[in-house]
Amino acid sequence: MDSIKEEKRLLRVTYLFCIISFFNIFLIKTPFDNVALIIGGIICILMGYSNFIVRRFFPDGDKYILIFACILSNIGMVMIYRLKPSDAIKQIIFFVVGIVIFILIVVILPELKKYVKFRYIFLVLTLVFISMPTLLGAADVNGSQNWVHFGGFSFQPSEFAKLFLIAYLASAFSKYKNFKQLIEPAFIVMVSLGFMVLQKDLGSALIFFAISVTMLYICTGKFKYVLICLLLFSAGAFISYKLFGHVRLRVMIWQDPWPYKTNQSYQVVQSMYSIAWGGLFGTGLGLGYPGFVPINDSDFIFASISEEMGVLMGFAIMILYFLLFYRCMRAALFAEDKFSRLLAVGYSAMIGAQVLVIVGGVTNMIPLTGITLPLVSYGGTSMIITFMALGILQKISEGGR
Amino acid sequence: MKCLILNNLYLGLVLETSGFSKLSLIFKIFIIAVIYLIIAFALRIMYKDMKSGDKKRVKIKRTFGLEVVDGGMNNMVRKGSVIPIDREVTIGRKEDNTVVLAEEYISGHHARIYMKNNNYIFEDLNSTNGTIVNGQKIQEKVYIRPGDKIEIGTIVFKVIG
Repeated sequence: MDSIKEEKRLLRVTYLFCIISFFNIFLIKTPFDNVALIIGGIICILMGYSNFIVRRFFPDGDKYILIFACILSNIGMVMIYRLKPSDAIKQIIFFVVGIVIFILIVVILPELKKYVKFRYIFLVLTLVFISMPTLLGAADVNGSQNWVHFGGFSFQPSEFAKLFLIAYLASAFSKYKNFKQLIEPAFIVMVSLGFMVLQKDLGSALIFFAISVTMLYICTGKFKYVLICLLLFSAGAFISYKLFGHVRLRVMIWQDPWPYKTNQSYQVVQSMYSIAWGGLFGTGLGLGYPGFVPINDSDFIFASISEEMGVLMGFAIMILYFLLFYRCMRAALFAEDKFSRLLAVGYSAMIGAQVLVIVGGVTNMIPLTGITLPLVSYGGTSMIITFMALGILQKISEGGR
Repeated sequence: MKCLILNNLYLGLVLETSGFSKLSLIFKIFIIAVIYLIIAFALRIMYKDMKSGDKKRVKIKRTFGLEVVDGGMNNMVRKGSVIPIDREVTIGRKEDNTVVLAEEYISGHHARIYMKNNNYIFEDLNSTNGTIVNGQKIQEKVYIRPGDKIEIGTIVFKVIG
């Protein structure tokens, strides 16, 4: 009883946040922007209704995964609405689709244990999605070839590949007995990484690697495998540094962005200016100049948020991600069988790694690679994939029984 | 590049003309305060959750159980006795079950009844002779409700709740 009360209080504060931030946006425009208020209301209703469904019909599951996901998406939508109102409306549609998928997964999916045997289906799907942009000859979008277009509809297959790779690895690792069982997954991971580097999608490559190593360690518990992986990764990184110009460029920018600030490193330099200009409390919504940062509603949304809502908001986002990650890992702790546990670890590692890579990137802590900040960034594929992963985590958190 | 900068300056000017845009300076404090309030509440919940340790389920208010309607051929259990079901009950011939029924038609680990999302689920653990619920042989698992009739071996139970 007590926990439900606290949960409701948390939800109420979330609505308050949504209303305050959209009311702020409503005020800053001349004439007053009624659409902002309507959108704020819609988001509140959506959050309330989806949380109600989860609380009412699935009380055994973890209720906080969805709440944290909603708060993060809410922050993202506020910022996207401030930057590009037309995109924010699309983002809300993606948010709705994401939540619907989340609930459908929780409702429809039978026990996850049964999916262990689909190992080779996962394997094939991973390879199909990962090789899709290379084989179909995708066009360059922001310097990487990871988009596929079907008519008027375009998506990033690497995101779907990520989901299937984790499912495949979970099913392969759950059969782990000795070193022999690790050869096949290792080969698949290497092939995937190779495709990622060819598509110049270094961010995804880094995430794939992080997920695989995390799952490997959780499964085997042997540090020497991790060490071997790191050595192989360094070798691979060195070879691709020598072979590919785009890798060298990223490292060059990372080491010293200032000499090239008008061309190659324009993005990251603007992003750093932007974060620094915002300071601790930010400039206030509508008073900053996040327009200088390129791709400011997707890859660099962290910079835009830090500028207008302050570094404190940036910290808050990191803390919220940490809490989300904690809840997801907790689901793994209570999972019954090895497959569900590895699946939960994989999906939580996916979200965590993505956050670290992109936030590290926009602050120039690590070489910048264009990926989205899950749930916050504008982007349909990213939103839907993250909600799928969270849905599966929610399912796992119900426990096998 | 220049176009982008000009565009932004223009955007900035438009925003500057709105008399209320300065309110953002106040709102930003509120927004940050609220987000940290959210974090504080969330942390409080997490703290309580960690302290309570294991996954604590909500206490079940209604009682749920199996009433013996027919004691079976060996009259192992008395007619009218009730097996209460809390979170999980296993039924079988072996000693490690919650309910031990030593009858030759019952498998070592015959069945399991557990609760999920406020519903009780009856799972047949691949028993040799199967289980019949409401006159039908069940595949793997079924939801059970008060009033259902469960036949395990020759023993007949009625679900009460």
